[in-house]
Amino acid sequence: MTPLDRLLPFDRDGALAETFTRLQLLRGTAAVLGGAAVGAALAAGSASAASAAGDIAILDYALTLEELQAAFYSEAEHAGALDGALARQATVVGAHERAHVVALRRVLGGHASARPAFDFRGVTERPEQFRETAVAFEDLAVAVYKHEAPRIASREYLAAAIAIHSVEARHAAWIRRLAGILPAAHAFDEPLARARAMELVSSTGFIVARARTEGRSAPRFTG
Amino acid sequence: MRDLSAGTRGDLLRGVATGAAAAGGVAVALLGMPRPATSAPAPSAQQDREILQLALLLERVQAGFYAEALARLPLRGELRQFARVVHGHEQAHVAAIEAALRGAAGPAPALDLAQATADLDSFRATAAALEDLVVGAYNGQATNLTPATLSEVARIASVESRHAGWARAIAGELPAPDAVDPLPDEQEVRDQLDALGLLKGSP
Repeated sequence: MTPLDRLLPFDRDGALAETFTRLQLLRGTAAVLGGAAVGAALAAGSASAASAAGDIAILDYALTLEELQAAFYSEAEHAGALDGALARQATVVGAHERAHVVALRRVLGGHASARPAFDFRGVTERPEQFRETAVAFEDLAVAVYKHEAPRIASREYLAAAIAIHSVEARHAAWIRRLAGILPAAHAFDEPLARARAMELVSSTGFIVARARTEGRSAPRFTG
Repeated sequence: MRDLSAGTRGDLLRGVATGAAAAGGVAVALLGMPRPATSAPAPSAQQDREILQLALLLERVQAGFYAEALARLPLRGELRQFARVVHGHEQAHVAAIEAALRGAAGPAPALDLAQATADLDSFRATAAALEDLVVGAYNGQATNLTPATLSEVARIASVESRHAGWARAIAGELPAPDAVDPLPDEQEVRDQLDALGLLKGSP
């Protein structure tokens, strides 16, 4: 079982996954349109429209994962069910993930996707599940940044992604140690392609179109 | 028993850490205010090789350091596990980079590890500082690599970051002190390495 497979036990709601897929399709369209606008604005500059659009799409994708992590740690901190070393981890790492969100939003400006709604289904109130999910999130973030970084055209954005990539790896080591598993299990870390990463994230059902308000029915996408 | 030189080493290590933290501000500013491309030379196969030479030097220093600690110190429990696991990783990194350089790897550096492995405290402090240093080296060179080489190097770089987080936790420090890691240039990295005193003949 790879660490990423730890996300799978939380896949309990196929309807949410389906909704999430629709949401992603719509947001993907928005990202392409946003990228085209950036391309037009930079047409007279040195960056090609294609690379600028690609960078926007990558950073917006990273933003989604950072939002997911930030919301997760913020909710855990707010719930107050963690203590000791785990509470400290949630507080410090949560602040980092929120800083990543702020930075990515600042870079993306009007091209940033709207913040998704999240439903962590009580995982943030159960220390064992919190720990396991945090391990999965952090290992996922490392693998995603590793896959995307070499695809970033702008040196400035690449530098930012690299400076975040290694912090996510520090987070991963930190929470893995608290979970009693090897902080660095292999000599080489592997990248994870976007399609597979989104599949894993959607399998959790943690991202919903909007806050759940009634029963267990699938939320409707209205945005 | 702690002597004067041990105190000096501690100050040096703290200095390295402080310098790294200060450099972190650069990346934060960069995240908020993207600037046009810098005047740094564009990535090339030749530049990749030069950067891999620096990476090889650092990986060899790490592999030698952990080998010496395992041979010399009464490591127990998590500290022993850390040294064994990380030593294995650094050996694998050395082999991978030597293979990538195809015979152009050059001789291994002469190391002076007596101080760094003098006792458990020195080992813990040096491990944390050395891992942070190596993370910075990889991060700082990322934008100078061709995308193909960066893809390979990034597989090593995040493992070094995991080592750094682990080493810092063992040393009682925050595994991740800042939201973004610093991006030191090659000279800063070489200065930090000199300050650690692990190379024979370093000041």
